[in-house]
Amino acid sequence: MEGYLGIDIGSVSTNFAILDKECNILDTLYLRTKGNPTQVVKKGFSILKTRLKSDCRIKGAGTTGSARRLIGKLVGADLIKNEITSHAVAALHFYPDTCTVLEIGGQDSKLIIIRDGIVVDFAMNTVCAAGTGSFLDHQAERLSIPIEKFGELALGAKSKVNIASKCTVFAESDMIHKAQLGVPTENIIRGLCEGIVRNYLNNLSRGKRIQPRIVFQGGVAYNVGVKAAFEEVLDSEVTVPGHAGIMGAIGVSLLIKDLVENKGKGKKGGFIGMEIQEMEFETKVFECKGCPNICEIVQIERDGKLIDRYGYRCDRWELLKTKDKFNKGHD
Amino acid sequence: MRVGFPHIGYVYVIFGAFMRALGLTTVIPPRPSYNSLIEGVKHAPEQICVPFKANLGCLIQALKMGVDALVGVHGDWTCRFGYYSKLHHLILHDLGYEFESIIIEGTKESIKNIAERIKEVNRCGLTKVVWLFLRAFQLANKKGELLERLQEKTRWLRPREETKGAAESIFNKGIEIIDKAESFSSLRVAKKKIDRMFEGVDVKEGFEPLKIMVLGEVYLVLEPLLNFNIENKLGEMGAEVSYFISEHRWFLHPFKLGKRGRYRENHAHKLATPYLKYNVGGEDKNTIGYYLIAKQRGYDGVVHFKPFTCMAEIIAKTILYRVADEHGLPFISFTVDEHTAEEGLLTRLEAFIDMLSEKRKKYGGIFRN
Repeated sequence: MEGYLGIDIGSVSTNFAILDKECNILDTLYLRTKGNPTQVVKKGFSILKTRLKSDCRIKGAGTTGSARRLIGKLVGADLIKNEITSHAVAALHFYPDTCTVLEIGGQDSKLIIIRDGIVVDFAMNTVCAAGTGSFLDHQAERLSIPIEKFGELALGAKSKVNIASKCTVFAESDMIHKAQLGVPTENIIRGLCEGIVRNYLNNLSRGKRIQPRIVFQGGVAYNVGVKAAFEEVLDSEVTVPGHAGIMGAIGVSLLIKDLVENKGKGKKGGFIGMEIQEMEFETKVFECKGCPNICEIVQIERDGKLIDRYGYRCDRWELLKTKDKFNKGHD
Repeated sequence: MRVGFPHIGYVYVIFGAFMRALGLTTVIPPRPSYNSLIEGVKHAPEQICVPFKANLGCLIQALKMGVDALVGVHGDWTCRFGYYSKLHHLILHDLGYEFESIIIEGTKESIKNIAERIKEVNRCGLTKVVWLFLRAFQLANKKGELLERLQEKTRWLRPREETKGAAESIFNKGIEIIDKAESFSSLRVAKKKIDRMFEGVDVKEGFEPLKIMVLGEVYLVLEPLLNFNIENKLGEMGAEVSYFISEHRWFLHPFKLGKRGRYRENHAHKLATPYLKYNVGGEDKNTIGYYLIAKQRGYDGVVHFKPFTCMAEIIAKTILYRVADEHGLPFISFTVDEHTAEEGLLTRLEAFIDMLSEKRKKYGGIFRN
């Protein structure tokens, strides 16, 4: 049996998805990144390895998410793709008539406009994390409510309260103030969910036409309160796919499947397999003082062997050049 | 007299030659880097835009190299950039640096004052000064032309090169060659040398790259440090870049010369007028006008840069949403401040390029949603 592995390494969570030749999902895994992408990928691989059937062979791997480049190089991914394309591909795979993708993740949120099966416009939040998962997470922790129950509680609210949505600091002080006035927690949580939707639309939807079908994905999509708020504001049905949280990983594994099937092997070729637990990965960052540009060079090593370098502007640090000559004195 | 001035892209090649031809010794500080930027941030007002901070850092580095005078331009641009030189020099004096502040303005006194200084330095009369000035201008202009030629050829080559990095290395060599050429005859030689370098490169046959126009605030567009070397990044992704301005045109701007640039700019302003009647500052009209020019010329997309807190570009960007809605040419906007994380920019840029190439495959051109 053949499998295609997609890894989505985000700021908050790292997701794995393995698809077979017919695009059936063989296995998925959701882990918290905890600020250490290398460790979490090692852990994920060891879990997946035990769960995978012995006759299943990984034919290709792709990475997406904010650490896609690092992890892509470490595991020798055949494809390194940005999150926006991956999410759009996954949504279109499950719902070919998708016109809009709403995605809210840990640190960022995206709005993707699709027409006739291709992306025609997109937006990604810029400077603020007010409308994202990590803020919800933080509030859930502060109120000691498990994040999974957050949405249901919001649906149980009997009336509305307004929670500021522009900034997490304002939102939090609003929430505390309302709580101290004796407003029930459910109502506050509902206000928060609506605030997040308001922030998202203000931030991203400028002049963009949100048309059905609307697919809502990313970790926050599991929150029924936010989904309900979206439906109310947009006045149309919002679809949440079953694998909403790992759509990025599914998207990249769909892409890698296409790539491997059409072109034999990806051009970067050489997924190194699941046995990476024993390997030592190291990232070194230094400034090149060769010219006034003072580039910050990032160098990735696997078991002491150089596998990639980036951040340079001239060919001096081109990987295949005599690496040891320049290596000395810069560590 | 040793004079220093801040960097704007590769303007030092042109402006440095201009100053040297006037008989001054130029001190060129190192190209802007994060170190110099941080130095500038330390002493700059907090809410000011990032070009100010970068320039301040550059000037501090120049002062450390030892200069007698700092040269700056001051003018009645509608954006606060016009007053930056005075503010820079004030801050630096407050920091305890000793230097003479020479500020070039369009006023009579300023021109007279500068002529006096050149007289002093060269120990000559007014006729000689005028002659020196004309020669310096001519030389700088020729250098600018050559620089523009080099840049345009590099931008053409970048997405088409067979071996990765060929265009970049030619560009780096070319800049050095142009910088060293200090006379009209050596410039002619330099031109031949540069053309020869381009001839020897293998290019991909029949490859039509995406065409992208870069717009926005001048300093960000010209300075590779602050626009994250956009030209190179887009080139690697297989897109051909053109800028709405070049160092050469920027240099010619105050002299109201440069036929091609002037014409294009007037044209851009005319196109922008239905959307923005008045010039509200900075490059606002250019941003909108060149967007429309890009659309007319069949570009695939537009990348827009604005510094954080830049009022003029905020206005232009907001209007661009409407213009883009009417004309359907996709644009993406980046807000730049002092930060080093390229990942966010790369993600958006990659997705943008993915989107444009998919669109081209499907519709063969521009699609309006």
